[in-house]
Amino acid sequence: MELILLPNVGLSEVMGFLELLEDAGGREDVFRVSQSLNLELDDILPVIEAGELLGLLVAEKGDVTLTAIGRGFLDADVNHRKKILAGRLTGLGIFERVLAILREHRNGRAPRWLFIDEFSEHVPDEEAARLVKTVIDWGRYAELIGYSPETEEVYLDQG
Amino acid sequence: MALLELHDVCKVYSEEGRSITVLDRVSFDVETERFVCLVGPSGCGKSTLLRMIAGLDQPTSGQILYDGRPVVGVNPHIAVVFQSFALFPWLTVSQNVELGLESRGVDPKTRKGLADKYIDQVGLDGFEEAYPRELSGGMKQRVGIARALAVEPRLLCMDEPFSALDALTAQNLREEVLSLWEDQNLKVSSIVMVTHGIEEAVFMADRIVAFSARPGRVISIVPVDLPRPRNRKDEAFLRLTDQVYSLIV
Repeated sequence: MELILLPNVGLSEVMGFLELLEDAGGREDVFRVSQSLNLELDDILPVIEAGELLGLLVAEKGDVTLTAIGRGFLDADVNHRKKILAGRLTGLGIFERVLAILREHRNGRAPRWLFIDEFSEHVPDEEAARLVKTVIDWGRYAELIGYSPETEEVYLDQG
Repeated sequence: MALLELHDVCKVYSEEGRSITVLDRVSFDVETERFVCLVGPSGCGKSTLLRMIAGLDQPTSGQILYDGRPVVGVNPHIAVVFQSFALFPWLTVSQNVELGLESRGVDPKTRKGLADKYIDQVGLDGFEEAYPRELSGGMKQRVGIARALAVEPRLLCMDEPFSALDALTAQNLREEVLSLWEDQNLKVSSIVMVTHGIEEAVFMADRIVAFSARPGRVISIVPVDLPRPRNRKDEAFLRLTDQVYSLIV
C-alpha cells in the first residue's frame, strides 16, 4: 500500500484559509495570503496541501482557487460540513486502511499503537505517531472514528 | 431599554500608597441583539471592564446596569469566554462544559443534555470524552465557547477570544462565532467582545467602543453598518478600519 501522508495541520486552519479565500473572491495568490497573515511558507503550504487533499481547493502556479466542493463546504452548517469531510476522508487511502483495520476488530476498536506500527512500515516512528494523531483529529471531527484517551483505543464512530 | 448600561464607571487600584486610575468615567449602552467590540491599546482597562460587566469585579464608582438592575456579583444571564480558554486539564470536554451548569445547581440529566447540545453546536461532537491536552488551541476555545453557551446567557462576554490562536484558526472561529450569534435558536442576545485587533472589531461588531490609553476613557463609539457577511477586502471595510485606527493611534 502506498501511503499518502496527511499534512500536520488542524482542520480549523484549513477552514480559516477557505474563508479568507472566499473573501478574495475564491482565488488568491499564495504569496499575498501569506504576507497578509505574516505566515511563512512552511506554515501555509501544509494548509494548502490539506485543502487540496480534501478536494476543497486547487493550487496552481502560485495561486489557490476554491473548488465547487470548497464553496459548498463554506455554505454548509457545521453538521453538513462534517458530512462533506467524512465523504472526502473515506476516499483517502490512509482512512480506508484505518477503517478497514477497525472493521476487522471485534467491537470496531483497536489500540492506537497498532496504527503507529502499521504506519511505521512507511514512515519513521515519530512521523507515524504524528500521523496517527492527525488521523484521529480529522476522523473525530468528521465523526468517522472516536478515540478513548483512557484505554488509548481508536474505534468506529457508530453515530 | 438597553440590555446593558454603563454610567460613569471608574476603576481605581491602590498600590503602595498610590492610586492608579485604570478606567475613567466610562459610559455606553449595549442594546439587545447587538455585537459590541471594545478596542484600545494594551492596559487601557478593557478586560477589567469586561470582568466588571460579568460581575467578577466591582467598579470603584459609577454604575453598571443589566436589564435595568445593578450588576451585583456574578450575573446568571452573563457568561464569559476567556483568552486563555480556562479549561480544567483533568476534566474531559463534557465535564468542562458541564462545570458552569453544575455550579448553578442544574441537575445531572439536564446538564448532560445542555452540554451535548452546545458541544454539537460548536462542532465538537466526537470529542466529548477528550481531555484538553488532546485538543488544538482552536478546539480548546470551542470548548470555552460551548461552556459559556451551555448556561444559555443573554449576554456573552468575550475577552480577546482569538488572540491565542494562529491566524487561520482565529479566522475560522470568528466566522463560527458570528454564525452562532446569528442562529435564532440560540439564547444569546448580545455579545461584548474585547479585542486589540481593529480589523477584527470591524469584521465582527455592530458598534465599536474605542478607548484611550490608560486611564481608559471612551474616545468614540463607532457604528459599523456594513452588511454581513463582511469582506475584509471591500473598500468600505478598509475605509472604516482606517478610520478606527486613526481614532486610537
